[in-house]
Amino acid sequence: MLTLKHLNKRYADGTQALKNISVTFPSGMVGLLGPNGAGKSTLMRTIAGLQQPDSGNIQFADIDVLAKPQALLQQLGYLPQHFGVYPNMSCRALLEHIAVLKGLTKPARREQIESLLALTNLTKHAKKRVSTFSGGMRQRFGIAQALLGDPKLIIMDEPTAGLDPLERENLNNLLVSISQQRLLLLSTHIVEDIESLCQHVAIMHQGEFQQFADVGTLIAPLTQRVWQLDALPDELQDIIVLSKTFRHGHSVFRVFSEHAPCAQAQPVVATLQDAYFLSLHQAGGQHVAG
Amino acid sequence: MLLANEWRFALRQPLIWLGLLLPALFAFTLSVGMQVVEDDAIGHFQLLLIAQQMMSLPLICAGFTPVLLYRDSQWQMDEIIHATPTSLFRRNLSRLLVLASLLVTSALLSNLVILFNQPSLSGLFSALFTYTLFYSVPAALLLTTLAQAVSLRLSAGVSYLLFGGLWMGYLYLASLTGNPILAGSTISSELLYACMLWLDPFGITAHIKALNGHSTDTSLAIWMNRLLFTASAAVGGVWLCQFAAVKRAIKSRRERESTDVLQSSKVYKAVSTQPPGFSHLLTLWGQTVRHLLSQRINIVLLLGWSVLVFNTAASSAAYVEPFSIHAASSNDALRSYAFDMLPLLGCVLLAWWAWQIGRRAQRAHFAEVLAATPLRSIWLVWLDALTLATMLALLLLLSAVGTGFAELFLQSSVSLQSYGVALGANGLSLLVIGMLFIALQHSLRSSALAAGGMAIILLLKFTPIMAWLGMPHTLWNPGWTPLQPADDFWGYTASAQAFWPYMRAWLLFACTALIFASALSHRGSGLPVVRSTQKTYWLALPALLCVGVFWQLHLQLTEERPLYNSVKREAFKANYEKSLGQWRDALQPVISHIDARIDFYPEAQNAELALRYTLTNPHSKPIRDILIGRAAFYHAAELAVPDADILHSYPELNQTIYRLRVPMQPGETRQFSAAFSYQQPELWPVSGQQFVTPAMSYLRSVPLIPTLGYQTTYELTDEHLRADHGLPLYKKVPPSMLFANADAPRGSYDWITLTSTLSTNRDQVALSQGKLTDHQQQGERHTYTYQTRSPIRAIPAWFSLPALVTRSEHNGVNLNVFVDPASAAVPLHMQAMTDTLDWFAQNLAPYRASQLNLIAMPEIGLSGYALPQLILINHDHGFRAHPNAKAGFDQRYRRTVHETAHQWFGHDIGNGEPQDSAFLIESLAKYVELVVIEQRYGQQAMQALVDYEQQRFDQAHRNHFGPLPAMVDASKSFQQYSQATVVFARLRKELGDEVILNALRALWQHHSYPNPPANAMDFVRYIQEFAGEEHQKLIERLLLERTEE
Repeated sequence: MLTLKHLNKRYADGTQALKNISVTFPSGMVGLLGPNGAGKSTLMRTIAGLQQPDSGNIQFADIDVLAKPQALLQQLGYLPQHFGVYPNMSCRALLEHIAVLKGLTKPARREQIESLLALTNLTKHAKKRVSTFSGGMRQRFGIAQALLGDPKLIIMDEPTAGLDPLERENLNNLLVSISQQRLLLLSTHIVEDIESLCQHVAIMHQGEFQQFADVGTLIAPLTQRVWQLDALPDELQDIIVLSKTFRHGHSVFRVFSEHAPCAQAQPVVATLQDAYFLSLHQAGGQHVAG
Repeated sequence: MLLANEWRFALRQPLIWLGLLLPALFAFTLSVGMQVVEDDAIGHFQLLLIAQQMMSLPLICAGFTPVLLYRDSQWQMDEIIHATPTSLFRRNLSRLLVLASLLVTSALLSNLVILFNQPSLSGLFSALFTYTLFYSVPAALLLTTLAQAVSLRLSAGVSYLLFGGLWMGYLYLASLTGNPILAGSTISSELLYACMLWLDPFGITAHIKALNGHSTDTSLAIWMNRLLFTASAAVGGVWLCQFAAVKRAIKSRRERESTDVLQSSKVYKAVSTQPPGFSHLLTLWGQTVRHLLSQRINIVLLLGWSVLVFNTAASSAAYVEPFSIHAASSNDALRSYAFDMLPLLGCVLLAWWAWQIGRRAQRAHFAEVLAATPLRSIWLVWLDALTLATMLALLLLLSAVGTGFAELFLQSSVSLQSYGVALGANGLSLLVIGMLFIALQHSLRSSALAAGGMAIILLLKFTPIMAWLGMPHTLWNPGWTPLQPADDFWGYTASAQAFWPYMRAWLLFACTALIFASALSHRGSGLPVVRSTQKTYWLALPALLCVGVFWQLHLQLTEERPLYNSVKREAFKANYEKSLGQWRDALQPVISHIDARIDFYPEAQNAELALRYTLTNPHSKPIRDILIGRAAFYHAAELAVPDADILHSYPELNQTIYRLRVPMQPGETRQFSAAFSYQQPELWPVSGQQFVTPAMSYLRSVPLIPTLGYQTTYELTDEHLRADHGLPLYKKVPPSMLFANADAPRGSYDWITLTSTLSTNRDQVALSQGKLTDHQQQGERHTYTYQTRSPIRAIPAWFSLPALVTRSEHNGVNLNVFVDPASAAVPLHMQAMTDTLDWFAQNLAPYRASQLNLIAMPEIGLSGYALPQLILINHDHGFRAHPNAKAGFDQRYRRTVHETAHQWFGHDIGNGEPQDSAFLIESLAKYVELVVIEQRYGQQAMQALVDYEQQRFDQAHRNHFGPLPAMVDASKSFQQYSQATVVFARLRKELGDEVILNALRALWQHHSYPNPPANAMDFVRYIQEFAGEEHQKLIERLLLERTEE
């Protein structure tokens, strides 16, 4: 559905934010994983037409995005990582404003804005100024505006930021329901969300795609090779430490190894997070507890 | 440490740099453009420092305040900053000190720029140091404290408004207290002036008085004032820091928290979209306008503007001049603000709105969301332009409302057409500026750069910066057209024809800028421009069209007025003197007679002139070469000089040297002819004293017609300009020295006889000097022939006027008043003319001619003007106006007496001596005012005139720096007119009229034409001769001594 070919972007300070990215995203939800500075936001902003790549092509369905950026914007829903709001404008007025910019007719606007207000549970606050909203409410407003119209490509950069666990869960449900027949490009640091929501995942590091595949394919190489330990053995040969967490104040290590690294090691079910950390390790990136 | 930290922060802010740079730039233009004082370098320098401080310091403070004092709340850093261990008091104090020091730095930088632009630095460094210490630093402290007080209570937007109001309010106060920086400023109330001497927050009123030579009277006021305000500012600032620390715990951000969550049970329903169409744009336009109007500051600005318009129109629409008012019309009400205040404040408001509109998304951090919508950039740009146009329309509407109420208040009849034209035309000019502002906001990603761009437009529009850079041109003034306010005499006739040629070009320019902005638009985001791969070569088309139209306009401007700017005029003058200076003393014949044939075509705005000059050789030697030319303001005339060859031609100077085949012998006469046409320029408004329009035509011969010999009037007289052009120094010797001896060399009269044959349309009458000797009618044309019976001063003038005239005859002199005979003021002017004629006939000499014409003229910058046998009186001043309730005398009567008196003082004696000053012309005409008014209206009316002139003189003298020259050497109008009135009132009182009249009679006896011309010192010598010994000192003091400070 969305094909990127040889996409490159270098900023004025010399940072190579995108390095020869070539990939095809199918419809459905696609998760974008990567550490800070991996290039996720640059990629999403480039796809959204907010900045121009130095070279490469972007094709969405039958649209050559770089040649006809306007055609893509007709089908785009976008929620940036950080956004502000106009002062002195109520939630409904601001949604109305964006709906007009998106080309919704008056009846369509009226219908969809009410529906989205209800969906994001902002109906009661529709007349209140968005500038006075809390972080969670403002994020819900952001989601509502991104869903205005009938976007075929939805880009959401950290949509769950600022949401409490229950809101996060409900947003995930919503995202799953709307991702039919659409491409929903989702960037988040919460790997669990991506694992549970996305059929496909792209792992980025230093402007490059380390991996892009469906979740099962990414996890498959780790099956029966992830072990959980309370403490690391003295000898770390042939072991890759994937993560170190704490449970009730005690450390818990997850390691990648072909064989049980020690007698206390318990085999555990591999997760996307394991695959992500392993990918970063292989790319020479951060090592959690090395 | 804290201070250094604050400074580091400040120096990273572009706005701070802009606030340092722009005032310096302003100081630069100020120092090169403001000519205030001629002979007091230090006073002039300090006056420039005052102007700089008044004009810029409050505005800089307004710009700096949000950056330094509102930054935490503006950028949501307050919680982080509040959590640091530095106390709020110390934090506030450090910010306050840095704000004050930045203001002082800005002032100092600007002052240094002024300093280094002065011709000599002698004594200026210590003046700068004193000024900075006593005025800049306290002003900075005061403004800083005010900024702190404002920031504690009010939003950043309101702070702009408040400082703007403070700035305008102070300028208004200054204008009421006779501040010499502000043109037209007078002391409206002595009480207010006395209060301001002590309580002026910037101490400027007392400082100006001290500069004007009253330092001993004002030193206490200055010291007290400076101490009071400095101490108050310092204590207030510290107290406010403490107050803020105690009272202002961090403002809890009022956020709406909600326990609601996203509804998992609801289903998302997509709706189809379509490319935004007209209805979408209309909705968006409405939303944006509503958004702007939802901001209180904009409402306050618009309503405040309306009130300001009402106040201005109501207070000045009926005013004509002191003691004189008229029944106000819509044109008067609109003229009071629509052509000066509206363009200036309108541009400032447009800049503010353009910034609000163009940077709204960026400021609200909403730009990415907006940029991701499918609305095309071109629509975004034009939508913003439309929104700004709507705000402008609202501004104009409120202007109309304010004016309407003012007219209601003044009980004048409202003319909607006048509203439409004045507000529409000025609105279009503002629209051009608004479109350029929007184009800048969309083209430049950086808001600082866009603000800089807007500042440059304002700088080009309202300062003479391009003239200083040596490139003066009307087209540097964006959106400008020569349209001038309408007067009730002829509406917009003076400039209407020039409006559309300019406006068409400016609208094209603005549209081109918007088209470019559409291509370059960052979609209000400040993000890099995303360009599609489509080519944009087509943009060259509007660009080329624009260049072509402006080039065409420039060519037409040059064609219509070859010396279209001061640089060219100065270059011409310098070149003239360098090339032809040797002709200054060359023997040349004099013009003794002119036969003029002039055909006026008022509808075509054209006149065809054919002149035959009769020359006489008055010298004792033959003349072989003659220099004939025409002022280079015009194209060369077609010359026919019989029996002569062109020896040398100077096309760039419009001058030709002819060699006569047979030299002209002493006393011999010859003739030559000149033919040329006068076409009213399309791109230049009527100015000066040559115009041909359907309503009225007036061609004064000087400097229109070809000249003979070297013209000293073409020489550059300004010392600096002469030095710039490599010309020798030009030392002007005052008449009191030049003619100190009675046998000093004298000039000669340049009088001529004149025959004028004038043709014009049937519905008009043609007029010139001399007696009407013939009148013919041929079809639609009337031809009039006028002939002078004796020589007149060589300033022929020709008119074509509507045939509306009131005629009268008095002692053999035909008096004609050319104005609507229904005008109630006609008898008054007739009376003034006859009274003056009688007074001269009885006391001095009878009128030389057999006719005297008074013509009502439109607003061309003169209230009254006299030519031989002709008087021009401004229609508004002379025929619409009438005395107000407080008037002790009638200005209309006074003016006509004055202009009639010029038939003797000016056109009888007082000419032929170019190096003399205006004493024999203007000052003696003021004497005639006194005696004729006293004769007609009594002593009380005369005394009212003296009191009025005394007051005018005192006010002007207060704003004058350095000693005043002697009365006979006076070059400033307040001396030539006001001081002269007071001096003659005193001479009348002490010496009596008979002594003055005896002196005048002697003057006539020895110096009237064809005797050698008189000079001012002749009058002094005669009055000294006739006055008793006891009056000699008084005469010397009043007429010959300089008035010290």
